[in-house]
Amino acid sequence: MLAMALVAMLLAAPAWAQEKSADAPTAAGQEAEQPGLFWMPDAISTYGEGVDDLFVLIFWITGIAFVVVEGLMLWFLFRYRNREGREKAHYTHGNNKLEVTWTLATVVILVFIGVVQLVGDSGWLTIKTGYPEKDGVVQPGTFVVRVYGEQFAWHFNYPGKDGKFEDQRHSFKSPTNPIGLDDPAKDKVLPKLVVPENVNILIELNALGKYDANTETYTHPVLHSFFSPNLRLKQDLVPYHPGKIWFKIKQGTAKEGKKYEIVCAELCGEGHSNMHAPFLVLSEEDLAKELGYDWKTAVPAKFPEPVHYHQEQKEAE
Amino acid sequence: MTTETKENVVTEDHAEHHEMGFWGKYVFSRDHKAIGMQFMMTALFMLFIGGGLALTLRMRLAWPEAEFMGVDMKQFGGETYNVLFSMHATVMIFFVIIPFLVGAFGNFVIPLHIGARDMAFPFLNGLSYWIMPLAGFVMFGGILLEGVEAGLKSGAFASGGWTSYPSLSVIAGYGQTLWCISLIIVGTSSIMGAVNYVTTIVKMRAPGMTFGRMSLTVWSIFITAILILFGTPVLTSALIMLILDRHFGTTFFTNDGQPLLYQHLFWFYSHPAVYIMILPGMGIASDIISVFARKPIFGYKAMAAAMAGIAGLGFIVWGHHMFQSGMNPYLGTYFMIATMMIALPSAVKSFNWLGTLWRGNIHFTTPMLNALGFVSMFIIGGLSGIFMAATTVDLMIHDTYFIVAHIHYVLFGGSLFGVFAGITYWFPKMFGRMFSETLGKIHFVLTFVGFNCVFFPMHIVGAAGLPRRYAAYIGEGASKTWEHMQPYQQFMTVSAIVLGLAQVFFLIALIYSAIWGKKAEKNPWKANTLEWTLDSPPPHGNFHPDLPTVYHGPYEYNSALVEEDYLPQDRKLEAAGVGGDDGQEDAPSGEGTA
Repeated sequence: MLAMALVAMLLAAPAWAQEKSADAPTAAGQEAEQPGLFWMPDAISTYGEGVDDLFVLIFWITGIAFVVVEGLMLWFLFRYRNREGREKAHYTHGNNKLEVTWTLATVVILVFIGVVQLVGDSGWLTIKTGYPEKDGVVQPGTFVVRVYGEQFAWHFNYPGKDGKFEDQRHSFKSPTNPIGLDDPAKDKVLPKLVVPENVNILIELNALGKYDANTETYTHPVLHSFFSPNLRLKQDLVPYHPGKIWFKIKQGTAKEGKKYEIVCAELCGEGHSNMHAPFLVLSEEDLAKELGYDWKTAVPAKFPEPVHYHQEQKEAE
Repeated sequence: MTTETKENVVTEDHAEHHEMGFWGKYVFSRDHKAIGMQFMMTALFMLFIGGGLALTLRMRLAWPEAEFMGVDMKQFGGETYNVLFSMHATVMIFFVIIPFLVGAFGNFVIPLHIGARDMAFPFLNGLSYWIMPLAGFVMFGGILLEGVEAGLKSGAFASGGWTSYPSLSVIAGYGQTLWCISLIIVGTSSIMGAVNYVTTIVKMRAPGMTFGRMSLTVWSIFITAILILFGTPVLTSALIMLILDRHFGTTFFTNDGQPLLYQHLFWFYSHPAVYIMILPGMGIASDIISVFARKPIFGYKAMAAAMAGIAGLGFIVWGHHMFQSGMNPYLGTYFMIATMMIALPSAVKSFNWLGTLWRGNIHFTTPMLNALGFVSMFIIGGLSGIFMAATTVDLMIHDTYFIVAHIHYVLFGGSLFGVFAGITYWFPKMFGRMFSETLGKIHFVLTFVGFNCVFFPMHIVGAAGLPRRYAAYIGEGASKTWEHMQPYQQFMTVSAIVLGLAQVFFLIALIYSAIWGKKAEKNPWKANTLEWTLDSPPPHGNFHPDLPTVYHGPYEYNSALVEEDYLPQDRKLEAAGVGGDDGQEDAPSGEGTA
C-alpha cells in the first residue's frame, strides 16, 4: 500500500508541479521555468541530457528494487501475520544459495551503474577532465572566461580586445575594480555570465578574498560552488587553488532567449542564498554587443598564473 | 575460551555496593542501566531542542516574509538561518542519535545481553556520560555569555554547517571555537564509551556466550565501538588544527595550506560516523524483527558479516562527499566504485530482514512496527544513496535537497525509528511497566506518515536542483530558478509540524506508561536473550547470585526442540544427542526447506 502510494505520488508529482507553476504568479519579466524531465529544469549543455539519462536509468533500477523489496515485505507482513490458526513459524536459519545469489546479483547491478557513469560523451571523466585545452594551451575557437566568487557576488572576467587576461591583485581592488585587475580597462568585467552556443567554453574558477583598500585588511576567501542546474554542472571554488570547468551549449538555445542563473551551492556565509548571477546564452551579434568586441578574434592562449594574497605580501616585502 | 569470564572481578566487586543513596543511585551512578537511562533522557531532551530548531527553519523556508503570532520570519534569514541549520544538525547527530543508539542502548543492553554484571570500567562509564552535558554547555555557551539575541549578532554560535569547512570556519565568530571544543569533548566521551564496550564484550561474556551466540544488537554496538575508536581521533585532530588556524596563526587550511585537507580529515571520521549512527539501529531492528516474527534471524552470520563489511568499507569511501569539491576526478572514480560496493552489505541486510519475515508468525506490536518502519525507510535511504554515489548524477544533485532527503531517510527514517523501536522494546526492562500499545501505535502512524510527507518531496525538489542551506527560495534577493516549487516547501512545513507534534505525543505516552502502564512481567515478549530472565527492572548487578550459563544462540524461535515457540539462551535441554549443550554450533545453518 505504502509502496503504491509513494509510486503514485512520484508519477503524479511532475504534473502537479507543472500545474502549480502555471498558477503561481511569476515575477515581472521573468519567464517561468518549464519543469522538464523529472522536474528538472531544461538541460542546455551538450552533456546535460546524458546526465539526465543516467539519472533516469538509476531511477528505474532503484524504482524496481524499491517496488519489489517493499512489495515483498508488505506481502509477507500480510501473508504471515499472526492470526487464528497460525501459531507456528517456519524454523530456518537461512539459505546460503539464496544469499550468494542475491549478493552476486546486487554486485553486478551496482558495478554496471558505476561503469556507465564513466563512458560516453556524458561520462564523468569527459565532463570533469575533457577541457578544450592541450598542455596548458587553450584550443583555438574556445570561449574563455575567468570567474571570481566572493562573499557574496559573482564576477565574470572576459579577456577583452587584446585577447589577454590581466593579472589580478587583491590590493588593486576598488569599487570600480571589484576583482582587482592590473588594468581594468583592458578586460571586460560583468556581473553576469554571457556565452555563445555551440562552441567549447572553458572557465577558470577562483575564490576571491575580501580586501578593504582603505584599512588594508584582508579576509581569507571561502569556498563557493559554481552551479547551474541547466548545465547539469557543479564545481567548487577552492581558495588558493583555481579550478576549471568546460561545457558547450546546445545549438538553438540562444533563440529561446531564456534567462538562466548561476547560483552558489556551497555554504559561504550569511549571504549564501542571495549569491546568484544571471546567465545568458546569446547569439554572436548580441554577445559582441554585450562584450564590446568580437570574442573570436580575442581568444587567450593561456590563463595567467594566479597570484595569491600571501604571494602579494611576499612580493611587497 | 570464555571460561575466564567467570571471574568477573571488577564487576563482582562493584555489584556489592547496594546502598548508594539518591545521588549515587540516580545521578552519579556507575550502574550501566542508570547511565544508559541518563543518556536516553538527555538525548530525548536534546531531540526536542533539535526538533524546535528544525521547525523554526522549516517555517522560515515556507513563509520567509510572513509573520506568525508576532514572530517575524524575516529575522530567521541570513546568518541566523545558518546558525539554525548548523545547530540542528550538530544537536541531532552528536547529542541525539549517537547518545541514543550508542550511549543509551549500548550501556543498557550490552551487559544484559552478554550476561555480565556491569561494564568493565563503571567509573569511566559514568564519566563518559557526565562530560556530555559539559559539551552541551560549551556548544551553547554563547547563550550563557550574551543571551540569544546578542549572541547571534556577535557570532557566539557556529554557523558553518555541521561540516564547518574552512576557510569560512576560520574567519567565523568565536562560536566556531566553542563548537570545536564541544565536539572534542563529545568525541572524548564517545571514545570512553567505546573502550568500555569493546573491553566488556571481549572479556566479560558469560560462560557459553561465544561470539557466535551474541545478539546482533551486541554485534552492531561492538562494530560501532571499533568504528568510534578508529574514526574519532581523526576528527579530533582536524578540529584541533582548525582551532590552531583560527587562533594561533597556523595555515593548515589557508594560505599555503589546503582547504581540501580539512574535508578529507572531516569525512574520514564523518562518513564512518554515519554508520555509527545506523549500525546499532540495524542490530536493534534485527533482534526485534526476529522476536516478533517468532523466527530465527535469516542468515545470522551474513548479518554480522554485513555489518563488519559496512564498517570496513566505511573507511575507504569518504571521498564521495567530495566529488564536486575540486578533488582529482580520477580519485572520484575510485570512490564511486568503492561506494557502490557499500550498497552491497546494505542490500544483504535488507534481503535478510525480508527472509526473516518470510513464513514467520508476525505480531504487530509497537516495537515491531517501529522496527519495520526502520527497515522500509532504510531501504529508501539506501536506494537514494545510489544516485549520489554515481559521480555523474551527483553533478546535479550534490548539495541539493536530494542529499537532505537521503540523510533524513537514513538518520530519521532509519536511526530514529530504530530508537523508537528500542525504547518501546526495552521499556518494560527500563521502567518495570509496559509501554502503552495504543499510544505507541498512534505515535508510530503519525510519525511514519508525517515523516514521509516531510522528506519524500525533498527528493523531487532536489532532483530539480534546489540547493540546500538557503534561507529562502522566494522573495527579495532570492534566486528565481525554483520559485515555482514553493508549494512543496509549504507542504513539507505543515507536515513537519505534524511530525513535531507526534514527538510531543511520544513524550506524553512515555511518561504516562512509566507511571500508569501495566506492570511488566519478566519476559513479556517471550524473547530468548538473557535480560528477559531477570526482574523488570533488573537489580543492580543484574545476575544474582551466579552468572548465567548460555546454551543456545539468541534466535531460537519455533525450534522443534521445545514445546514453546521460544528457547531462552540459558535454558539447558536434557535430551541428549541434540544441539543445545555446550556445542559451538547448535543451530543448523545452510539449506532451508522451501
